Amino acid sequence: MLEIPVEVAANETIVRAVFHPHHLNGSKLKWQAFRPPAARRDVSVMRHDYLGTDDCRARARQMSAERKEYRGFACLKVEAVRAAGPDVIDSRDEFLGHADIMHVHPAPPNGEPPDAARFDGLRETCKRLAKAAAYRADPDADAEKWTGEPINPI
Amino acid sequence: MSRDIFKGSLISVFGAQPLDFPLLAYTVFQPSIVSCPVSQSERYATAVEQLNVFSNLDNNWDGYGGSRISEQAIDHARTLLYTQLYTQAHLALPEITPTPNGTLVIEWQGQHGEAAVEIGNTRVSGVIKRENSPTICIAGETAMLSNYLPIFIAPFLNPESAKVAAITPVEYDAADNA
Repeated sequence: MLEIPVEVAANETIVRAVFHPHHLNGSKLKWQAFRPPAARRDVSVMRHDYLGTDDCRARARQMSAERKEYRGFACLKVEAVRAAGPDVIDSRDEFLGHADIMHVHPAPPNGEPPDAARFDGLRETCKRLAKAAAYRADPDADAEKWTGEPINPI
Repeated sequence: MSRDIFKGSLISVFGAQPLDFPLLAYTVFQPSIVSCPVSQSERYATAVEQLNVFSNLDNNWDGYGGSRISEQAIDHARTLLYTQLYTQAHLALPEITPTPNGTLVIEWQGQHGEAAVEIGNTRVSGVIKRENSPTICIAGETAMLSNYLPIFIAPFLNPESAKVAAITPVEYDAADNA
């Protein structure tokens, strides 16, 4: 494996595993695919340039379950994420090659929405990310290797 | 073929006029019985069934640590859907999505804009966005607003189809929403 720098470069490609049905509306990414967990700012991604498609895919498939079927990847250039507002930082304590899209503000705590202005801000940021992302569907999730289109962001 | 349902007859003090001034509006809600096509009821039944699926999601349902959707949020969303059906608010069926913090986001698309609200255990927050208009913020107690939101939102998104609007007491401060 390539040595992975801690700094995440602007021209890197990052991918986020996409699960049906929660991240997709038909073949379109929902903005909620980029919403952080409760009271947190981080949205997990993988550094595709270093891990490669098949390693990213293997990790994504491990997360698949009965009500969250792995379907493919949301692919983004780091510079597009930063242009949308959030930063991208390395988070190798999770595993080497893991990174996080860091929103400016944390998501609300469990059970309650943020105030209206924060809700609007979070939604608009996530919509910008969803628009900047290219969704690459995995045509055969059971295959040993990736058989879909090359992982290139828009 | 039709089915008798409960419908609200609505009287509004401001109709669909633009909100560009501080406003305090009250509406009278008068129940009556009307008919509704069964096909429409069935579409709503599908949406309600979707809520039942959400209520069965376990922790980490999204693969990224998402929390269970609370029963209160599910109940409020169900109330909101029935309000939209029974009052025949001029709105398309909304898209409903669970969030990682255990709430539900409900979104409507209209001819002239969109509306989105997040429903929690006790509170709701949201926005109405129209072309060439300032964003209108929505905030309040879920138990109260879930009974009225579709009727309140409809005139903003589809003004030509809505002659009246109904809301609970709502304060709108143009300065805060500028």
